[in-house]
Amino acid sequence: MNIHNNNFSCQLSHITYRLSYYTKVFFSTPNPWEKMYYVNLISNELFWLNSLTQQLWEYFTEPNNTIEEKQFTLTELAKYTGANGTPAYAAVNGIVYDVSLEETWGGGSHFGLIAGKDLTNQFKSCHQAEAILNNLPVVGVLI
Amino acid sequence: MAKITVNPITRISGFLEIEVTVENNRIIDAKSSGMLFRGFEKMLKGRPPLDAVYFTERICGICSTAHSLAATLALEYALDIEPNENARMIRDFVHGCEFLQNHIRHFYQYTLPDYIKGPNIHPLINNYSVDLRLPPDRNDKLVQHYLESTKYSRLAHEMLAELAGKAPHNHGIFIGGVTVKMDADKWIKVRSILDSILSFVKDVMLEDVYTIARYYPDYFLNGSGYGNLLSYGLYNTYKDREAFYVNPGIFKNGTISSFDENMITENIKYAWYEADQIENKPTDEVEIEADRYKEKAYSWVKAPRYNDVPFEVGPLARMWISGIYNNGISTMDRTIARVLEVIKIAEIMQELLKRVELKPSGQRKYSVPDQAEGKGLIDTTRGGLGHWIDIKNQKINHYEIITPTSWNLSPRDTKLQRGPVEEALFCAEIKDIENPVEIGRIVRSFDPCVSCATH
Amino acid sequence: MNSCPIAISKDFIAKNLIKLSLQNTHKINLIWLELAGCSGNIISLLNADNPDINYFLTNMISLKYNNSLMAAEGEKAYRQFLETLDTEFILVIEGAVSTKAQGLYDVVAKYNGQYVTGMEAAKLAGERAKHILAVGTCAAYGGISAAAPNPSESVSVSAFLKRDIINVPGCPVHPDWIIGTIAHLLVFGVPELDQKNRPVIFYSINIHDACPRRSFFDQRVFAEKLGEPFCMFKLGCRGPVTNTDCPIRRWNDTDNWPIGDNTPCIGCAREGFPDLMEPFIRY
Ligand code: HEM
Ligand code: SF4
Repeated sequence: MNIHNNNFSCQLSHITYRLSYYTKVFFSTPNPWEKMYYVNLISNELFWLNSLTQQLWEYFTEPNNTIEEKQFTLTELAKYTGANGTPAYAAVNGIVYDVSLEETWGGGSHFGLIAGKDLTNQFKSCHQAEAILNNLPVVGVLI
Repeated sequence: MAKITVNPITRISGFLEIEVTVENNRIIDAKSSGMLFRGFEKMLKGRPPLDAVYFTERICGICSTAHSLAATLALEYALDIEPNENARMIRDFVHGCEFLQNHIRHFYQYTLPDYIKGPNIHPLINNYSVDLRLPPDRNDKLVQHYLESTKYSRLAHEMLAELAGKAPHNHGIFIGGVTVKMDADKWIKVRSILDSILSFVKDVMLEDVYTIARYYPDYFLNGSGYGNLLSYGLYNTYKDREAFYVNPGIFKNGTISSFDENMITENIKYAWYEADQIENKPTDEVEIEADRYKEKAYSWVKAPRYNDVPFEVGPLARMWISGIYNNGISTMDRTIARVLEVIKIAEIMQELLKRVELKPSGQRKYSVPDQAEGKGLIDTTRGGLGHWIDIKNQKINHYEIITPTSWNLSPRDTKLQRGPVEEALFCAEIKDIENPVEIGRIVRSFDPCVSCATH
Repeated sequence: MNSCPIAISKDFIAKNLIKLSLQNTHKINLIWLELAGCSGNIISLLNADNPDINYFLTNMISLKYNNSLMAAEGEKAYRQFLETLDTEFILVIEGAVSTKAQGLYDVVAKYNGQYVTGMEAAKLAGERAKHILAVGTCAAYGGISAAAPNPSESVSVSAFLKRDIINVPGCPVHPDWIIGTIAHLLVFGVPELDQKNRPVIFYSINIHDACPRRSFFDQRVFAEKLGEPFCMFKLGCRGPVTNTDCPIRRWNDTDNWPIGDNTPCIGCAREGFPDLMEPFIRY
């Protein structure tokens, strides 16, 4: 499973939501059978949670996944233009950002710019603050 | 001998100057000059080809749907895409909405103030009008209809928006057909609007145009022009007779013959442009540069010619070539043909609606080829409209647009042949040199649109 | 007569307001100047409903000059323009100001044998108008008339006139935006404007924030081609960078609008349209 995948955080939030709900019902019901039923559900969720944390751990220890390792050449970067379902990546100051879901980058294009390129100069000519980049997911570096 | 200049010719779309020379109350020379230039063909260079649909429609505010359709056809040709039958019918229906909108507005808002004393509201108060012949009670009735008509032209755009997002400048016409998913709710809405428009046109507008014709019979005798008519065809892809209108064709010297698009050229001898060649085919990739100070030139409109001959396009040309109308070619005939055409088109739209199924749009993903050429020729409100596109490196390399009003408002060409409107003015009688109302009446019968013609 | 003080004050407020507004509306002249553009905003105005164009012309303003609608033509038409300059009037400009060749790319009239360029007309009226409205994206920002390489060297009205104006962008402008803005001017004075001089009542809403397909965006359900009922983001939707009330107002008295028609928003009411909003559609 891809850890950047949105699905991952989606699953995580669903589990925590269910956990808190089951716990709430557990405390509010007087019926012992029902309490047992909810304990069971909670332990199920914990099992899933455990498997998710396992994945996180694997991701963390897997050397290929660390940020420094994911390297892009310009030709490789050029594949990620946001066209035809590809992700949209753009490099600024040697770092490759994922702008696929950045709201101002609809269809992988942004005020006349197209993703899949090193846009350092364009960025500097348009944006003063580098802070806006902090909110973008980093996918690698440009070599 | 006197020179009369009318600038602006109001109640058209865009800016037009007409200059005539009058001797013994007859026009012995006429020049028409389009006065606005923006340069769409230049702007389109290098843009993503698919954007041409939404880009070119912004050439014109009153007939934007026409451009979106011609651009779509050109792209479909280039990308080799065939829309499904259902989508094509919806698209043709949407195009029909524009005809209703345009023709109703043209007749009431643009033409009528030439012949009646308008309602007592600005900007229709015109203290200078002369030669208004309607008796007061009839005049009042037409004034009432002028005001009433705004509802129906608005409703025509409402239909357009219901199926294509908004109007002017719709979004729903696109390569591969349309983007709307027809459902019963939309279907019955446009159906009911269409019925109400059709009954207005049949009950009110038709009578109104014949009222005007009755009081101004002399306008059957002027504004004839060359009498050369041309159509690229409209509603001619359906087998059923009920949904068929007119095939491409030309009418010259009393005979109708087939139309060959390779005979179209554009001449810039008297237009404010410079290029290596004075005469170009739409597919020629010549660089045409604007030069406002070019000597002897007098218009932003280029001069399209078919086989070196000027042709008139528009509702009359279509009605004539299709054989529906053959009363004559004149100022009043043009106006009558336009009104009759509204009925014809509304009826075709009803037929289309009967055949439309409630299906999704059938849109697909399209990929732009590295290299391709396309053309889209179709008759629109004011006549034949052509878009030619040449794609290189997935970008627009060359785009050529010849609009209906370019045909009609064209200036002279190398052979010094006048454009159709100039020819229509030629020899017309001007009764009162101080108030040359005839000029505006003749010119407006062509429904000129300078925003389109010069683009 | 009525002795109840509340009733009297009720009368006082409503009636007087209406009277006031009617008095004003009867007075003010309006020049609707078409410049370098498609003349589509006046067509959009004709599409207005409640109030419709007839109400607008009879009860709200006195339209002294407009190329598309006025009965007069030629010098007589332009004379009406000149006569209005000496009165109190609102100036509405649609289309950009084309500055190439001393303005000769856009000639609006000929008077006393001289061409009157769009530039001159805008300047003449712009200096005297009580209020100026730049209607449509060409007038407000240059728009399509100023699209690269801008062959006619068109500029926005505000860049040309250098005075306070109200921008009412949109390609075309929505009839409600223009009539609403004028109604506000007539009855309640200058409407509250944002940094780009647009009336806040119509332009404070971000399309993406109010879009009915927003939940699809949040759930990452994206349309892959036009015609699908999902979020158009991956096709190049400009809703996130465009502010208008299209998502709630909709168009032409229907419940439809570009995104509702299963196509992306192309940012037609935004500064930078069309050059910075392209590609409009990207697969
Ligand atoms: C030609 C150069 C560029 C121009 C003209 C430009 C323009 C803009 C504008 C006007 C906004 C504000 C959007 C709004 O109105 O809501 C914006 C936002 C943004 N831009 Fe750019 N941009 C450029 C280049 C870039 C590049 C190269 C990147 C990064 C790779 C970038 C990343 C962003 C991000 C992340 C935002 C969102 C900021 C926020 O959430 O406030 N831009 N840009
Ligand atoms: S369709 Fe456009 S405006 Fe609507 S949610 Fe998606 S990105 Fe935002």
